[in-house]
Amino acid sequence: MNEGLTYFLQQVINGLSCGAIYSMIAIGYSMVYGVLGLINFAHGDLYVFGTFIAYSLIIVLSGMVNPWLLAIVAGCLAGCVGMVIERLAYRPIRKANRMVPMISAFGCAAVLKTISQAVWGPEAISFESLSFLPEGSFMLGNLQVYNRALFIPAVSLAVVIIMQYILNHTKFGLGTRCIMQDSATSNLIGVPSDTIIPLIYFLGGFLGVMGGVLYCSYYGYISIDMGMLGTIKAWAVVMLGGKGSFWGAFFGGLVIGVAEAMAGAYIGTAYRDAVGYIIIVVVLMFRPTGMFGHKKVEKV
Amino acid sequence: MNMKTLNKFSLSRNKALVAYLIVLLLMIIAPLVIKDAFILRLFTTTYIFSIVCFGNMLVVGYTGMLCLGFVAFYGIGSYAGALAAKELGFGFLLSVLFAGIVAAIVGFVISLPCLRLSVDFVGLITTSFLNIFLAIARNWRSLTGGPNGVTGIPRPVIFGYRIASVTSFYYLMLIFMVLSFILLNNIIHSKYGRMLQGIRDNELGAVSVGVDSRKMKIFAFTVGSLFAGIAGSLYSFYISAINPDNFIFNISTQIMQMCVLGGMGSLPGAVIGAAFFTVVPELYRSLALYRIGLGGIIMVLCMLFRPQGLLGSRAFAGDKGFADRIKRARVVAQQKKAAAK
Repeated sequence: MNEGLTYFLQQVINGLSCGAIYSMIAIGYSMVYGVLGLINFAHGDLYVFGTFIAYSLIIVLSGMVNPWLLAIVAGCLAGCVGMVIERLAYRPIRKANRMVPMISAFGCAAVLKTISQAVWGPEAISFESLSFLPEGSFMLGNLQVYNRALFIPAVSLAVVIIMQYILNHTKFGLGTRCIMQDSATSNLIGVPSDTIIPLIYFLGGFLGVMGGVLYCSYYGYISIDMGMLGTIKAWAVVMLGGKGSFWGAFFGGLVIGVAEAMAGAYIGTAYRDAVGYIIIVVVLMFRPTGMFGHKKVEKV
Repeated sequence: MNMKTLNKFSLSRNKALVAYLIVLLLMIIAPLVIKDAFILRLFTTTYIFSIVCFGNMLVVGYTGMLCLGFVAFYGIGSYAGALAAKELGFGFLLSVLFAGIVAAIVGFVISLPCLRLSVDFVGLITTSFLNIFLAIARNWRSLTGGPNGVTGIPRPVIFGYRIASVTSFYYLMLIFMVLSFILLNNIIHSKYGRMLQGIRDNELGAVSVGVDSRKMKIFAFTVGSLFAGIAGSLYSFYISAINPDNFIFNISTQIMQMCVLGGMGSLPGAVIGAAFFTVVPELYRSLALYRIGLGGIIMVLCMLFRPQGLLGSRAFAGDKGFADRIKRARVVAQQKKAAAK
């Protein structure tokens, strides 16, 4: 293999693992966004908050418990926080104009961010020493493949398959799909939306923390500024993939990840983010429902 | 409409006019009473942000599009005005006009892909545009000065009068704010304004009675970004040095919050929202660490108890907030009591 090709493939692999992290965060976002149509600006700060909890748990119980178990505990806590936020800040205004819960979400994001800042401080904290990702690498011809570059997409793929199963084959999933189609009618026919919607927020927060743990381990640090960035990226990925589709969120994340890696390698890191956004704009212009979205016909 | 309601209508119109004039009078005499430069500066910033909020209000509050990257137009106006004055040697008024026109042209171009898409996509596309704008502003060093931005923007000179003191800046921004208000108020109460509100409340309905929704959306976007551009250039003249960090996403969301808190679909609401978010954070400045969080709590409470904002249009209220719900519950309880008797 020549050198240019090796470099190219290396970037593709980097992009895939980075993209798989985006999709993890975006799947949690997609739950809430696809079902309720709420642009949940608190998602980013919620997952950062949960990841901070995971960090503290691991530091306190150093070496005694498997870090992934602690991450799951932290994910559950963050999911509960998500449920509380839903009850206090979103449910009373669910029927108002969409702008209203969105601003309320901004408020919650600010509160969560302040709590994280007060507890863990404004500086970035190193996440290196926490062994979430498998070490080591192997050679594939000239190509060095890190184990973690296989691990992250595998986790992400597994989560998509599980979520897809839950959505299509359980009673909870059936209710979720009902609310997604028409929340007013599903209330009429007896779908318990006040039970299902908090659970959706729980899952959103939980998956967000799982993605956050991967994200912070991959980049080796955690900071409170990740919140808003993560929200926008997750939103963009969901839009690119198609609203309410887990496969859409998965492939949308991969596309953005690879595009950013390519831009970073061949154009320059300065324009990395911009290239991702340009791709989103171009795709949306030609396919307004996203890659996997269903066209919704508006009836009068 | 019978005579009585007509009278009531014109009376409420007059009341509003009187209220506007009283507030304007207070704004004019404020610098004569308040000698504290810090407070005057706060008001000056409020007026600049009011103009941006007017633009955002036209796009979001009156047309119902979601524009989350609105600060990009503000930034473009800011850079255009600063560079026109510094590099091209334009006069103050000409640079402000130039900045407005540049921002309006960009707004026009951005509005074109937005026409095909639903509300959320418009929000995402404007957010993406903001990020692209920031990447260009940070990296095109020869034009924008990179992360350091543009410095040493000359002080505005109008008809030979050099504006440098706090008070003169106060009056300059006040004049621009009042002019923008009058202009936009006229647009909103014209047939175009009603068309825009028709699109916001029910796009299909508006189209079916002959409103060209595409044309009106482009109109709203272009005029909105024109005002954002003007405000941006005023800001650059006011602080005389700008850099990309003045135009990040957080500022954009803050503009949105100002509009929502003041009340969507209300121009005076934009001024109140801008004043609120400029003045109130200064009141609890000593709690620096908890500042953002306190702002967040205020935001959530405001949305819970008055979802349409302080002066907002009912179109945004839904089944209203807690306050109305409590009122309704009380009425039901009274009815029950009466029935029991």
